[in-house]
Amino acid sequence: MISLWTPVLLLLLGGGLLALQINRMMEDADWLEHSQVVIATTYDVQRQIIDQETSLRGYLLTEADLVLEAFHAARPREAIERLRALVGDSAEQTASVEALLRSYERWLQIASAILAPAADLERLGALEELERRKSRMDTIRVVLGEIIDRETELRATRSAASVASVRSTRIAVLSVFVVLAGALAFLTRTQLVAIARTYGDALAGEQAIRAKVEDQDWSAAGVIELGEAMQGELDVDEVVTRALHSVAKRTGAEVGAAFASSATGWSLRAGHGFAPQGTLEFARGDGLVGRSANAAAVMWLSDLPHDYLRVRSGLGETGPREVVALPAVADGRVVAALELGFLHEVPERVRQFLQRVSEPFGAAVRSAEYRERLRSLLEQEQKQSEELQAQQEELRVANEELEQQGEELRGAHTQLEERQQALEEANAGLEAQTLELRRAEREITAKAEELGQASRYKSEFLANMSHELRTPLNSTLILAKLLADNEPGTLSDEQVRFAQTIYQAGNDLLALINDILDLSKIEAGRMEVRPSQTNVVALLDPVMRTFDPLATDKGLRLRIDYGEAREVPLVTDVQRVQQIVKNLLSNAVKFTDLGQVTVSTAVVDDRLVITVTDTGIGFAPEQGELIFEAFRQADGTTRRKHGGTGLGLAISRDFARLLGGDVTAESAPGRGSVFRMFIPLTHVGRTETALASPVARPLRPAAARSPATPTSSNGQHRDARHLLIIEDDVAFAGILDGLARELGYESAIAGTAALGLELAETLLPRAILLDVRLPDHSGLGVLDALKHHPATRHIPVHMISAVDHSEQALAMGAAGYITKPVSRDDLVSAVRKLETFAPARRRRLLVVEDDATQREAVTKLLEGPDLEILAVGTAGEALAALREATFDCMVTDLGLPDVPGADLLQTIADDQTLAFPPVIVYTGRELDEAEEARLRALSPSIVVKGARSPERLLDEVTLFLHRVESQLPPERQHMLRRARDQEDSLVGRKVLIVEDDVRNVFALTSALEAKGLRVLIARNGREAIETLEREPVALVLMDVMMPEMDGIEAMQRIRANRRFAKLPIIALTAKAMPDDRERCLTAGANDYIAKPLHVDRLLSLIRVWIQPGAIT
Amino acid sequence: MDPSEDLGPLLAYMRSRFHYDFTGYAEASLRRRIVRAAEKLGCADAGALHERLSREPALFDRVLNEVTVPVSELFRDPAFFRILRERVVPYLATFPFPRIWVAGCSTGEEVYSLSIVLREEGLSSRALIYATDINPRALQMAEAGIYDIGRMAAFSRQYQASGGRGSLSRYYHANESAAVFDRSLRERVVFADHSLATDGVFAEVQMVLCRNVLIYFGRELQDRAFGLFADALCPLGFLGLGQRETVQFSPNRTSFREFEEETRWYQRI
Repeated sequence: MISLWTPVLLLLLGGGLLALQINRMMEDADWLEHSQVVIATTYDVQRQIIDQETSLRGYLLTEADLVLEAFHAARPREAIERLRALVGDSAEQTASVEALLRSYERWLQIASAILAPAADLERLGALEELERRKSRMDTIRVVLGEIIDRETELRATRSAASVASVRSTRIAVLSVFVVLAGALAFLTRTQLVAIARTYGDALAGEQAIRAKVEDQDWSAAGVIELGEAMQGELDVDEVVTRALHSVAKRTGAEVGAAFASSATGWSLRAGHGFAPQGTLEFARGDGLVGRSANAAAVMWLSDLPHDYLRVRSGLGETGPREVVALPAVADGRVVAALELGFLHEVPERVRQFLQRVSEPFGAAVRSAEYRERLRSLLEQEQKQSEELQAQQEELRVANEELEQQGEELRGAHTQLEERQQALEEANAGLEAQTLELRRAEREITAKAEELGQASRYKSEFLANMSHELRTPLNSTLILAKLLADNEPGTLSDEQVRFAQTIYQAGNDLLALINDILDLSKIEAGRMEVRPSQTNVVALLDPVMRTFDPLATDKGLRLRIDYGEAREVPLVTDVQRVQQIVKNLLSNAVKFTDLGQVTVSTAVVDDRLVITVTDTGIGFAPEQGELIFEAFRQADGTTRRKHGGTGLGLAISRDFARLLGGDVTAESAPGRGSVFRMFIPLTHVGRTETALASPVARPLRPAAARSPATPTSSNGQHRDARHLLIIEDDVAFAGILDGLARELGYESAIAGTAALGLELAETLLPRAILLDVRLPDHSGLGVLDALKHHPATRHIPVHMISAVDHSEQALAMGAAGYITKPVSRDDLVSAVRKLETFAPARRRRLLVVEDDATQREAVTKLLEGPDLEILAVGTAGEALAALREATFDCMVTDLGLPDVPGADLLQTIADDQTLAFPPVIVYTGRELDEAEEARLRALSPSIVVKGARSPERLLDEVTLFLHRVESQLPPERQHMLRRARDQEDSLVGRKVLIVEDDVRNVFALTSALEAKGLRVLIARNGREAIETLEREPVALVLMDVMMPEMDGIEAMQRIRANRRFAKLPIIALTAKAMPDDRERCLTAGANDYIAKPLHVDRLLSLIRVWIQPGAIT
Repeated sequence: MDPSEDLGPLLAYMRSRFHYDFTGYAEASLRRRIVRAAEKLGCADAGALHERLSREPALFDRVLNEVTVPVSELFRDPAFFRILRERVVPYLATFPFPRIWVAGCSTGEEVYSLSIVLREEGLSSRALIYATDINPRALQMAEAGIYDIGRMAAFSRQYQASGGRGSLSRYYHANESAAVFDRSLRERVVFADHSLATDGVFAEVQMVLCRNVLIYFGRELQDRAFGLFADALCPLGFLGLGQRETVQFSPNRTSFREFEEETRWYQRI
């Protein structure tokens, strides 16, 4: 019996053992899953708490209720409770969860207090509170980390335990089999079959359980993996992208796409296994994704058509077998979706896995959405904060300004007070002075009145006196005449003679009295001029007739010669003129005893000249002026001999001056005398006068110039510093005129465009100031005409205008442009600027080249707008040209038909009378060293003809003529810019890098050395100059911004040394604006390149500027 | 002035004529400053200012001065300078030749503050400062280093609050109206015209100070500036910003990490 029961017992024992083992295995598997659930739940707790935290922060910053949505949606407490229930197995974990719960409760308490509507916390206080909570939050984080760590540890041991239990199960099964094998001998076949079935079932069950455990493990690991992938402060795109990659990796999907919610539906955010091209959108409910999203459930699509989607690999392409859409669900709402494509049939565990991740995926996406919303709100907040700060800054400025203004005002006030004080003092002084002046004025007036009075008294006295004298004199004369006539014949001859003498003397006395009266009238300013229309004959004929008898009496010949003046009409005071002529004639007759008296008339310069010539006694030239003074005659004795008052000439001259003319005399003793009287043909001006200034100056035309008048009378003086002002505004032109004179220019003003152009051509001024608005033509038109006329196009033109046309004007060739209103300083600097242009004499270049085609080509190459090129074919012609004129530069071939080029240069150098311009030798001949040495003494540059020589030649000429490259015609600039010689021109050449930035130095050094250039380095301008002094360098790369000595200064200093005049310098600068380029070029840079450096561009620049063949 | 007036033509004119680009500046603040500049020149609005400038380009200097808000003080935000002194400078001292870029140095207050800290921390002989600004007038003032005497008391207080050692008066010489800073403080300073709006990076630097400059910029221009700083800074180099400025919302935020968020110190990573 024992033999029969033994196997049964053994079997039972083995079975029991097996069952026990399997049970343990299942338990282990459960624990394993338990751990994973705990970890996942902990992550969930963490996420929810973070959601609440960020939401609360956002709310405090933005006060937007919207942000609180996330706060209220999160249910961390429930999650913690779940966690607490889960970790009941571990005292440690339970303690941690309790701690977590406490921390969270405290945190929540503060948070709720802040959120309570009644709590009107100060914002700042709340933020501080928030900071405190942040530290509490940090402890929550720590606790959560602990829980996860511990659970991960537990999971690891449980996993190990699971493996161990599987192993021991196997051992158990194996030992049962061994026992069975032993028992086999004792057992019947049927029993054996039964036992085998039993054990087979048991093993299958074990395997199924193991598979299930493995699947669960796999799935749970996937969930954790996904959770970890979606950790961190990610945005929605990042979350869905990471989720896609994580899920695709876990499930082995070949292709996948991630969609997130957009305005209209679902938009493609990321691809797995393919690169998304452009945008892809599904409307809500459209496509598998849309349908899945609508259903909030995972959806499958199997047995797809073959061309549903192509999956490419390196070996070929195929279509996926199944496609699944996975919605990310949060609170029943779909927030994102994944679409995955599989090439194989999808195993069940993947399906289960996908079902499981839907929720955590959704939660993560929702968190990301909250974060994004919060971020945008915070960003708005930040903008407001910046704006606030900007406003505060502005306020500060305004405040400072106000304070400063206040200060200034106070200062000004004090100053004003001081000034007022000073003014008052000055005023007082002035008042005193004024009083003094008034007093003086009154005195003067009184004196003047007294004087006038006295003069009037004198005149009145004289007039009265004359009258009083004339009345008795008249009676005396009449009576004397009666007596002298001796009608009754009662008087003796002697008595008659007495009476005649009385009569004669009375007449003389009367004449004297009349003269005195006239003179006093003139002196008192009471002589009136009464002009009337007449002619010379009518004027002089009566006078001549009067004197005819007298002359005849004395046996003199009296002649009159009217000449061409006979018909000339005359407007003058006839009586006065006759009086003068009478006086002159009476003198002539009086002082001439023998010969003749001639009167002649002529018209000179709008004046009538009456000349009275006699053959009388004359007078000495030194007495020429004396005789015109009142009461004087040639000498005292004369009067006695010839009688007369001596007042006649004085009165005559005064009369003549009164009429706007004069009387002059010339004579020599014994040789007669010539008296000339000038009077204007037409009497002008004063009909009444005070002859205070007896010498009437012929008035010059008024100084005011009409705008259309060149103020320089002589347009032929081309060397004069002429400035032409073309401006129609008379006042402004006057200002410009004054300014020009002040600056040492002769100015000419033209009020119209036409006159301006004419003057420009005739005067060839040094510079032109041109208004844009002219009455007849636009100033821009004038500019255009000036610039297109060969004679005037070199003249610098500065435009002045109320309207800004500067770009146009400058493009057309104006030297400068100012807009009205202009300040004086603007004008001065404009004129000064023109001055710098002034030597813009056209530059002259002599080209000596025997080959006509070459000559033509060189001329064409070098042509420029302000360059005059004279091309000759022989040395003789060249010498002749050099004798004729000076040149700024000369380009010569060596092989000339008459004299070798080198000899030509020697001749020019030896001839002191010739100006020796800089010479560029342009030759096709190979030179030997001796030749070269000889030539270099005569010419600084030798250009060997070859493929790239034209560029070089152009460079050389450009340098010599100091023309900036940009002034050359564009196609030639292009030629110059074209990258020339490739690498061979660079190999072995030395480049000096002046740069303080190590990073740039390194990058440059490696780039340049790779091209065979040798690199020297200087860290600032000073070092650069030192290096240059020491070593010859082919090119300099100059940083602009450096310590100690910056690039601008360094370039200026380098250029100041003549040795380095031609050294190519390329400036490196971080500035992007064109004026910086200007600054570099002005300082002496040949070119410019902006940082960050583009190595290829820099290399082509270096190729352009490095001089091929120059020895460095 | 009409608040909706289009500033575009004026800004375009300033860009093409004077090469100053304000198009990326924060609209509201720029508008206020342009209005202010217009008022000061007696112009009714931006259009009138435009017209005036085209007639009198020389006035641009004044307009620029109004628009660029040159305001600053020594040791502004002492906490910032305390962090600089206590944490940043010791770190900087580990670079053999630290270079510092003060972007938007305005009238130079920041430069002198920095220079003083470097001297007191024994770094002045090794460090080099690039001080840049777009306003040439401000740069001239920065180079001159002359400040109103009335401001010195406040400067001294802030210097003390920032952890200054000794008295600020060691560094300047004053008369009754102005104080001039010791020229040795600017021996190792390169002053240069540079625009964050248009210009590029000019050197590798270990620290960038750009404080209260970005607040005037629009978002895109801020991003450009942060890009320049990221390019210029060597790894682990420092970026110091103004109290209300942050790199947080720029796409370039990933190039930086917080070093001291409270005082707006960031570090290039």
